[in-house]
Amino acid sequence: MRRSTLALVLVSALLGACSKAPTQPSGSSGDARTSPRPAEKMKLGVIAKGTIHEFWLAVKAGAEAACKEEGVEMLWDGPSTETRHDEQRRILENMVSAGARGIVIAPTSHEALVRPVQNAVDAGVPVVVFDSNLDGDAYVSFVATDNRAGGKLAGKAIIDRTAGTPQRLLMLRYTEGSGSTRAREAGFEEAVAEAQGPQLLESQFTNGTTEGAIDVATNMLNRYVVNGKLEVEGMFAANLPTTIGMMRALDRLAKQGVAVNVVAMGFDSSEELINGLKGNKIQGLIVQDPYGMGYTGVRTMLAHLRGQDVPKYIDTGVTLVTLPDLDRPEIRKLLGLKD
Amino acid sequence: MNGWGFSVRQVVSLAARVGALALVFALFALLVPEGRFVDVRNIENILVQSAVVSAAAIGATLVIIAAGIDLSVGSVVAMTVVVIARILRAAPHDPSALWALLAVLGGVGAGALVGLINGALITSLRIVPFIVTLGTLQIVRGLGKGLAGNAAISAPETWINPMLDSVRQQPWRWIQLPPGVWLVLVLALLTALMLRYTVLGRHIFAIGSNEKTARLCGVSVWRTRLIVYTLAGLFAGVAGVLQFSYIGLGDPTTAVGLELAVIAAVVIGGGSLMGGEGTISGTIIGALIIGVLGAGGVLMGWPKWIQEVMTGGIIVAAVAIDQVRQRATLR
Repeated sequence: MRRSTLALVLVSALLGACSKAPTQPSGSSGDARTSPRPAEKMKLGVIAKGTIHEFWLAVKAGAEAACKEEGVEMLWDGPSTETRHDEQRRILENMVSAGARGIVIAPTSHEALVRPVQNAVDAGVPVVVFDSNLDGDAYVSFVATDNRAGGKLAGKAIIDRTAGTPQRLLMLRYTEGSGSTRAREAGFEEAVAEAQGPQLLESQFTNGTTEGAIDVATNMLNRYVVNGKLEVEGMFAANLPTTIGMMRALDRLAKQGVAVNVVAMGFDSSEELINGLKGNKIQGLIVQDPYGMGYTGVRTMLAHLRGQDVPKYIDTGVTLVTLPDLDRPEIRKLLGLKD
Repeated sequence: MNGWGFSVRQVVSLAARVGALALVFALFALLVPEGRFVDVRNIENILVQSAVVSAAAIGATLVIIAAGIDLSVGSVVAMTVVVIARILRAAPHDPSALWALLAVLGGVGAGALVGLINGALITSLRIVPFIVTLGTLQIVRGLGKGLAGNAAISAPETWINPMLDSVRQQPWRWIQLPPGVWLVLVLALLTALMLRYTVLGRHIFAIGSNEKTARLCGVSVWRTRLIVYTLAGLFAGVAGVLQFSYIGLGDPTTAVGLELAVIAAVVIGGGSLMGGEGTISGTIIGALIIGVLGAGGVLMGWPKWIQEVMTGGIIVAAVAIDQVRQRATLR
C-alpha cells in the first residue's frame, strides 16, 4: 500500500514536469527574434518520415550543414516506418518538450499530423513543413519538390522514348496515405492523358516495404506476358522502394526467359539504382534535391525566427537523370556521388 | 498405425490440407484469364514469394509443437540481413565466394545466437515465451538498426543475390527451381525426418503435449527447449539469408510483422498453439496458401485490402474446420 502511494507521487511529479515543459519555448521564442545568436545554442527539431533510406540521410546532411553554419543544435529523428503517424507525433511532442525553438518536419500523413503541428504552433513553436504536404495553413512555409511536376516529367520522358510503339504503360504506386507519392502518380497520369495515344493498363499500391513492392511488381508484370514476351512498353514507380521493386521484378522476368523491352523510370536514387542505370536495368530516375530540402528547410525556419518574411512555398526542383547524365558534375553532386 | 508410423488421422489431416491448397489454387486458375495463373512462371513466383515465410515457419513449427511461441522472427530476419550486408562491405575488394559464405554463416549464426538467448531466458528465468520473445523482438530490431547505423546498407553482388532468381536461362536449368527454394525444401524434409524418427523429435512432442508427464518420463525439458529455440533462431537466420537475396540490401526495417505471417502458416498447417500438434508438411502448405492468395489477388487486380481480409478469413476457417474434424474423429 505504502509503495503504491510513493509510485503515485512519483508519477504525478513526472507528469507535472512534462506538462510544464512545452510552455518554456513560447516564452523564449521572442528573444530569438531580437538576438539571432543567443549565448546558449538554439535547438531546432528536424523530423523526417524515416531514418533508414539514403534519401533521408541526404536530408539530414543538408539540415546538419545549415545548422552548423548558423551555430544551431539540431535534434534529428524520424519514425521507424513511414506509415507510423503515431510515432512521428510522439517525436514532435517530445522535441517541443525538449525545448526546440522551431520544428522542420516531413509529415507522414497530410491529415494525421495537422493537430500535432497545430499544438506545437499554439505552444509558440513555429513549424516548417518539407517534402510532403500538410493540410491547413498552420505552418510557416512548405519546402518541397513539385511532386506532380516530377511525375509528369517521368511520364513525358517515358512517352517520348516509347514513340512508335503501342505505348502500353504500367505504374507501381506507393501507399494509399502518402501525399507526395499520390501527387507524383497524379502527375504521371496527367502526362499519359495529355499525350492521348498511350494507355495506362494498370496501377497497383504496395505495402510500403521493398519486399512488398517486389511481390506486387512481379505479380502485376506477370499478367502482361504473352508467348514469352512482355507486352508492356513503359513503366513508372513512385519512390525509392517501389523503384527498387520495379527494377528487380523486371530483372526477374528477364531471367525467367521473357523478352523484356521496357522503358522503366523511377523516383529518387540510391547506390543500387545508380548501378541499375549503369547496367541498363532501369532507364531513368527522377531525382529530387534532398540535401537542398534539408538545408533550405532549416534556413527558412531560422529566417522566420529572425522575423524575416519567408515564402509560403519553396520549390526545390526535380531533375531527370539518364545514363549519359551520370558524368555531369552537377548531377553527381545531386546524387551524392564522389568525383 | 501402419508400418511407416503414420496414423490414419495424420494422413487425413495432410490430405485435407493438400486439398485446401489445391482448392485455392484451382479457384484462381479458373478466375485468372488466359491461364496465366497455372503458368510455370507464376508457380515459380509463388514458390519464391513463399520461401522466406516457409524457412522461418519450419523453426516456428518446432517451437509451437513444444507449446511455445517465437515473436522475434521478423527482427531476427532484419538483423541477419544487416549482418550479411556489413560482412560483405567489410571485404577488402569485391567479396569472393568464400567471403560471401562467411557472411551467410555470420548471418545464420547471429540468428541462432538470438534463438539460444531466447531459449536460455525462457528456461532460466521461467518467464513465458510470449513475454521473452516480445522483449527480444524489440531488442533485436533495435540492435539491427544500431548495427546498420540507422541506414539501409547497400552491398556488392555475390552468389547470395541470385539464390531466388529463376534458373531457366542458366546452364544448370535442370535443377528447375531457384536454389533458395530447394534449400527450403531440403531443410523442411530434414526437419520432418528429425521430428518423426529421432529422440529429440519425440521429446519436442512430449513437452508440448504434457510437460509434467514428459519430465516424469525423464525428458530433459530445459535442454529440449533450449535446442528448439536455437533451431528456431537458426531457421529465422536462413530466412534472413533468403530475404537478403530477395531485397538485395541490408535494410534493418525489413520483415516487420513477419512473425504473424509465420504463425499464420503454422496454424493454417494444423499446428496448435496449445502444443503437441503440428507438422512441417502442413506448415509449408500453410505458407503456400498465403503465397497463392497474395499472387492470385494481384493477378486478379484485387485491391490489397481484399487480400488481407481473405488471408484472415482462411486462418480462422482452417482452425475451425480442424476442430470440427477432430471432434468427429474422437467420437
